Amino acid sequence: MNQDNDKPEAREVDPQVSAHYEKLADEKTPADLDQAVLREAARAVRADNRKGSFGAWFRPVAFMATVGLSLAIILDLSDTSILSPLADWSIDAAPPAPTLAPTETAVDAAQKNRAQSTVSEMKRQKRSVSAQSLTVDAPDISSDAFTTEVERAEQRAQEMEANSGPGLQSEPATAEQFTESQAAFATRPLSMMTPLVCSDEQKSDVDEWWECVETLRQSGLDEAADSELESLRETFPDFEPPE
Amino acid sequence: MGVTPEDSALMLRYKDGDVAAFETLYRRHNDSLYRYLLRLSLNRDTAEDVFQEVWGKIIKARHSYRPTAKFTTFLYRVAHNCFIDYVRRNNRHLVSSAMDPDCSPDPGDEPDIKAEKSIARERLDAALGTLPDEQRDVFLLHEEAGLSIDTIAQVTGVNRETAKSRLRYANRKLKTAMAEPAGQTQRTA
Repeated sequence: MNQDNDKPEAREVDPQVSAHYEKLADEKTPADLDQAVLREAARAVRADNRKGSFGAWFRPVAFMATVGLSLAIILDLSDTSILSPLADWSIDAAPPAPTLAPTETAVDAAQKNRAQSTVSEMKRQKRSVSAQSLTVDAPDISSDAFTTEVERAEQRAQEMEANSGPGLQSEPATAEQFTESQAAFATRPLSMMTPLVCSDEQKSDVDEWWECVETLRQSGLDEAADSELESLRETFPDFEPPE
Repeated sequence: MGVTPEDSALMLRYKDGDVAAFETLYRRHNDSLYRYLLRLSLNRDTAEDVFQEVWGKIIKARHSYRPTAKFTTFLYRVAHNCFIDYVRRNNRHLVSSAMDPDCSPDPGDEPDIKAEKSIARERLDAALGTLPDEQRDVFLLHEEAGLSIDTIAQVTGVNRETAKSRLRYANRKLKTAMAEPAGQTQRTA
């Protein structure tokens, strides 16, 4: 039974006592105690295996879930970062400039506005002067038709002035203003009607572009002129306007 | 003939999930450990409780087991400490009357031999009961576990000389107790 036989122990150990003890001490572990311990040992290993098998599939699933979630977040952030295009980038350079259709020029817009004003004015005039039969025609937006219409309106206004009563006192002022502006506008030849923006051809040359800016300013279109000048300076930073 | 695996190798195999390795290891040490606790506590119920507690701790410690010392040293160190903790918890004084005289499951003995053996065992247990706890502990560690003095000192937490003197005194007293009923129960080895 002794596993270590150290010689110095011979003095401390009596062989007869050891032999006597070895002969008498022969008890065995009770069987139920053996079974209890062995069951506990097996149970512990089964518990380890359960944890191991759980981890075996749990870790890959957790990893894939993490990767999937990260991708979803990244894709979602990418979508929100793509801003929807602004309605009209060019408007930023020229704040109060009117919104124009791509193929429509400033001339057409002005003509339209003025023609509509003419129509409404004519309608008012027709209502106030019952004797007069004013023909309210939708003005033709072509330049020639507009000029003709303006002249006609002017003529009518003059006639109304001659025939008007008190009720129409206010009319001539409005009509007069309208007449003056339209007349001033109508006297200008079509070829010199100023657009609100410079053409691409003008923008290709700095000098021509500058002339366009000057034209806009002379036409009273200061805002358009400032906008074009700013664009010119961005395109040609070294440009210095002649004094 | 196959090589008998060492205790530490069996414990490491159990650590890896080999329950059969644990059973082999258990069968090697269960009886000696049981006897150690039985005669240390002089109480069967105490011995069984502590016995189960010791193996439970061995099973739980399988993941952290490192073969830095002999498995026997590890086992009896755990057993020694568990017994001390048990005594402190239960505040029980060792009683020498709770030992079952007929606990030997040796079916081969004839009735008269059984009776003689039983009487001799009773006298041995009585003699062990007269020893101080520390001397009985050292004696049983030497006889049941086969530990050296140095290892006994390590297990019991005393220096080598103290362990040596305890073992010496234990043997002397047992020899005296065995010699008292002169010629009646003493048998030659």
